[in-house]
Amino acid sequence: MKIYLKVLSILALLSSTCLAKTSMEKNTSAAKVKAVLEAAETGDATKFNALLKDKTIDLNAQDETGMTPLMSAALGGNVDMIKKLLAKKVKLEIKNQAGDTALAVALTNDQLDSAKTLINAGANVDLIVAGDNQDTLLMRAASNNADITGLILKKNKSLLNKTNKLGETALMQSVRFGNNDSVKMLLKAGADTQAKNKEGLSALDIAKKSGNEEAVKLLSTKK
Amino acid sequence: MVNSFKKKMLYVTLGSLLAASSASAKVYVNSICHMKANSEGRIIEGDKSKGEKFPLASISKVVTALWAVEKLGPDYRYATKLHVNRVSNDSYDVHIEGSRDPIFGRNASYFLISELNRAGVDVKKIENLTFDENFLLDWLAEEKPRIGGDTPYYDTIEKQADAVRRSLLADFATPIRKDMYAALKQKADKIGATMESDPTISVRRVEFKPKSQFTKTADTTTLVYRSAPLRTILKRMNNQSNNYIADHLYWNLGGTTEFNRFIKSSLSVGTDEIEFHLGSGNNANYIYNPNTDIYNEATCETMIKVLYKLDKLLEKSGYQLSEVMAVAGVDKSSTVAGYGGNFAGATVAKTGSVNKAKTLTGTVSTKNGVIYFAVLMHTDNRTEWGSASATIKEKVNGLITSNGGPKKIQYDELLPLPFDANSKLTNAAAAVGSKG
Repeated sequence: MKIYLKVLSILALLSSTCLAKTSMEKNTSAAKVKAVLEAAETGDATKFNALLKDKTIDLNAQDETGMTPLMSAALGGNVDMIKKLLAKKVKLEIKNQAGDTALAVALTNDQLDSAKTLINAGANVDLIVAGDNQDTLLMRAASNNADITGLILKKNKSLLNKTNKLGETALMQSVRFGNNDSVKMLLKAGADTQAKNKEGLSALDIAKKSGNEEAVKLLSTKK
Repeated sequence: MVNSFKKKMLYVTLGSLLAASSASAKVYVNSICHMKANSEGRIIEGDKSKGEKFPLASISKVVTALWAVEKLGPDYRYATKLHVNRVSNDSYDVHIEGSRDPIFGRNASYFLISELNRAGVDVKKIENLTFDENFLLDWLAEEKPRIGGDTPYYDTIEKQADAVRRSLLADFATPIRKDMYAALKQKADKIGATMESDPTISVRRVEFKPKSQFTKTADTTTLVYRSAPLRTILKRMNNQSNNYIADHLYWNLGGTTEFNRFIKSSLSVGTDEIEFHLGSGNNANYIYNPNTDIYNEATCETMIKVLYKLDKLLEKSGYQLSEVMAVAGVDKSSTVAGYGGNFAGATVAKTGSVNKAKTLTGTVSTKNGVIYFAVLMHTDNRTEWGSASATIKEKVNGLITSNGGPKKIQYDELLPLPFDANSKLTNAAAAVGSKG
């Protein structure tokens, strides 16, 4: 009986040590991932480069909100770090808790150089970005920046007339936000000028409503 | 049994619907407010939460800017003194009497080295380089990770001096990075601050010497380096959303105790309306308590008061808000560089992002006049910043389009360096009485 109890206590000790070790390894691993994310977002090149050499770190690992090192680098606008991660063949299409990929994180956080780098690296541009309206990536680009709009269309022209939950197109959004360079680009690409949103408004109606005189001219001549 | 299964399915479905709606409800407008610049009676319009305190994130830097301008003036220049003694034919002892210049990093150092090399100064070899407790050198003052990261906080002078000493040895006293120097020289040329072509500096010893222990001799020559004016430093701070500059300004001005005096006297508000822990708006937990979040907070209304006050203060000296804050779509090295369409050239704004909040404050110039605004969005974590940013832009765009559309302001992109054409080393005796 005594031997039996001794064996049991040894087994208990061994298993708790193993559990503690696994838990410690997990904590160390999580801490390392957190460190990479922080370095990637704040642009701490010294820490980032050192962590990149650590082969125990899974560069596709996600923190509790689903952020990966690639997303953090994109969020921080750290293009050099994005390139280093891409060179390590990290996955481009992992999604965070909000449902965004690194490209969506870059674009929706106005990190345009990061967005361009990711698009050129082959990131999927056919995306619905996080938010109640379920905007497409193209819509967000069109409301803000013609260069990125053009890049996205070059990769996938079929996205041109996709709508969001409100029935809006990229053309409507570019009109509403006064991004007339995007308006010109979308019209040149063949955007549907007759489409109406769920309020029954066309791009021209939105242009008139928002006082976008240049867009009114562009859309009136396009008819 | 079938009924209980159906019930379970119903609960699961309802639960998922609630979870889905609460997932999107994590991102919401906490408060939004605005005031027309030509509003008689200065009426601040907004939602019912405009009087509730909320984390500001980096729009805190606008408040810090107001405090600095009010206390020091937009033309203030930090005057760092170099006390030089010749020790041999070609080497010198130099003591740096600091001025708590909050932007003394690589760029200011390269300019100083250039100046030391200039004909008429010719200090290329330093035998003993000493510095006092008011010399705040951080090589990365204008670079990442200092911009968006935690500003190193030293609770003793010894720790601060140790950090400065290490930077002088490892950065200042080592060969200049030619690519970075060349890029800086090109920018400096554009603002009339000429720099030497290929300067060098060698330093044999570096030591901390407190102000109380330094004395000049009859042979000491004192040279003065004056920083760019405060308004330029603030522009750089706000363009980059630079935590380092903001936090040092805040500490230099007296920290939280003095800040609370300032808000009372300048804005007639108390800590129930605005509460600060750091100049940057960064989470202050790394200094005070790592187990809890510590953010600057203020009401939406207070932010409008701050903007208005800052605008008027600058106006008194003949300056615009665009000289201390970023102009959307025009200031290419700013956090609003990518704000196109209706914002570009017509919005002067400061962004803010912390885990719990995404914020924007500034002015929009419309055909109906200028409008001060602030939008404070609640988020749970940084994955929601993109969605929050989209809502902020919708709101501000709505403000623009409902006021006749955008009207671009008169503004040519400024190049805010830590020094300018009036920063050249001057002999202190000759510099007495000269304006900053």
